[in-house]
Amino acid sequence: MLGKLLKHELRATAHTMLPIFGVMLLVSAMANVCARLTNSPGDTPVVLMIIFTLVVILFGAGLFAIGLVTVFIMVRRFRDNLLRDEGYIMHTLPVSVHAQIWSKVLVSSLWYAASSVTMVLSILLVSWDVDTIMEIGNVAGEIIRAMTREDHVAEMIAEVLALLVLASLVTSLSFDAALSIGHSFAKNKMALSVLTFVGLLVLGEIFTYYTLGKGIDYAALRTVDFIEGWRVTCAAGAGILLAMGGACYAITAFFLKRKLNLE
Amino acid sequence: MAVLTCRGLTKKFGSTVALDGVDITVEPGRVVGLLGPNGSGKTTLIKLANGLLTPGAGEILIDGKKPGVETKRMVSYLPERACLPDWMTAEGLMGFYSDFYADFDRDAAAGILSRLSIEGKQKIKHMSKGTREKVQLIMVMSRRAKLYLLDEPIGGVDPAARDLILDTIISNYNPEASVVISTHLIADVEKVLDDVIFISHGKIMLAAPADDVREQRGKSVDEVFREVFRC
Amino acid sequence: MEWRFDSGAAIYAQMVARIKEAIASGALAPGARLPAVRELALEAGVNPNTAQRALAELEREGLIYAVRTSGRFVTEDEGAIETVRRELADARAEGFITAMAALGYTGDGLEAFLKDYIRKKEE
Repeated sequence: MLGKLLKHELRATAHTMLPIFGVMLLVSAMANVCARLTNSPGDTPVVLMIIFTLVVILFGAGLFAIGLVTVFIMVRRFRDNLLRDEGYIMHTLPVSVHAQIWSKVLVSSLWYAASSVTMVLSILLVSWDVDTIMEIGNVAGEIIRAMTREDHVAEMIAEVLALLVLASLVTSLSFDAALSIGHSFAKNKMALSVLTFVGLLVLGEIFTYYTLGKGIDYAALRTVDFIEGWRVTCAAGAGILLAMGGACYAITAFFLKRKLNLE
Repeated sequence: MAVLTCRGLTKKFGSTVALDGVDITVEPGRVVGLLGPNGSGKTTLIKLANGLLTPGAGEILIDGKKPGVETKRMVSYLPERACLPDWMTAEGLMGFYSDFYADFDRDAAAGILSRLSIEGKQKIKHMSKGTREKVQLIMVMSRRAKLYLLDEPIGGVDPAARDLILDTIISNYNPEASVVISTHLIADVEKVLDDVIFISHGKIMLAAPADDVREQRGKSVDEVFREVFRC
Repeated sequence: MEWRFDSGAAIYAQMVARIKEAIASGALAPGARLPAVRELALEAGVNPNTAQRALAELEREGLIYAVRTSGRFVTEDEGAIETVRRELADARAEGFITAMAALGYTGDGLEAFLKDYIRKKEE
């Protein structure tokens, strides 16, 4: 059943997200063209200059906002699909609450990753130029050579990526938990959801402080190999993320199963 | 095995008692009217049967099982509100129901949609309110479920749609399945009912076959209802 | 067939009465096939169990009979049909007499009125 939920979830979100990413890439390409055209000084008409400037501003704003927009859409998706009218259909499907949560978390993490990729592609597009591409190619080559030549670079990159993925899942779960709690009340659902989210953030910070901050013996850490120290830190980070994620998951599952309050 | 059983079912919201020690048995092959004014506990009962709420005390069983994934497989629910996803087409919706419910009869649903001239490719957001309601009803009634829960299916619906609903209930009749219709508009629906349950302030006031009520009181169920619930 | 139901009487009993009328008047001819339970229920807008109960009652009274896999048919027994006709006629007569008595027409006065009315109708 999770597979079916995932399919449905992707379909439901793709027709909003893909156009957004498409527009961002289009604006990036246009900004590239505009940047080139404005390089010819003097003979470009004022009107065109204004248009070009607007496009460039749009590009900048888009790059800044695309992550936020993705978050906004994913949060709204969880709320509208599981905590409002559509919930009458979703919660009466013969699927477990766990499948429901995983379908939302996995798909939103996918779109968060996709928005990061879009940002990178946008930057590439806006700076598309034979020289720049050669530069990027060289840098990429360097990185790959470093990965194969020096130990641990590949491992470190993999660990960073893993932590990023984990952080993305945990972020999704924290939104879901906050919404589930906030919407279990009769009134002021969104306001309470925001408050709960802030509360969860604070709790998360306190937890991180006492574990990552106070729980690790940094003096001892300095005495070991760099890679050992790195691994310990990553493991600690992963542990904290897993704990926070697990807590948010448990909260979400409990509130969706027993405290559901559809209008 | 009764399709729906409630024993001492109680549900409170804060200090408000929505259901108070409710006992109900619905045998297979019955069309039951759950009749009561607004706020009498009808919707709470239906939500409990759907697993959308958990009981405070007592129990509710569908085909002898507690509400959960298993019972959701055999319950077909028509909510009071329109809740279909805007962006889907009628076709897409049928695909959705086919995916999640093994007992969904896609051919039957497609047949009724085409009989009503509802385009498969039309998006739900472009449908009129009446069409949306019909689509939702068609999906619910095209499932071959054990228990159909219809929450206020005819409120605010035009007479043609109302007839469609009643005719669908009659033609879908299956001696192993039951239909519970929750409503406060009784006159339109009473000919189709086997049994009637009167509920008020979370308590069952009467549970009997409809024809018995008519014979004993010499009145229609609607008239008896008005008498019983006169303020 | 027209189906109109009054409040106050059991639906199945009203269905029985309606079908009896149809048999008595010949609208449902002797040996005619009755609709299946589901069709009947749909036509009358009633619950299939109610329709089933009505048919069972008519079967019990010997006015219809079931042939396995073929359905239900009106009896061909003229005697039984005549009895129903008589029953319905008696009931209607009873109603008429009571209503007319309320207007003051009874006994010989009632008979005279009726004869007169029928004679006028034939002109």
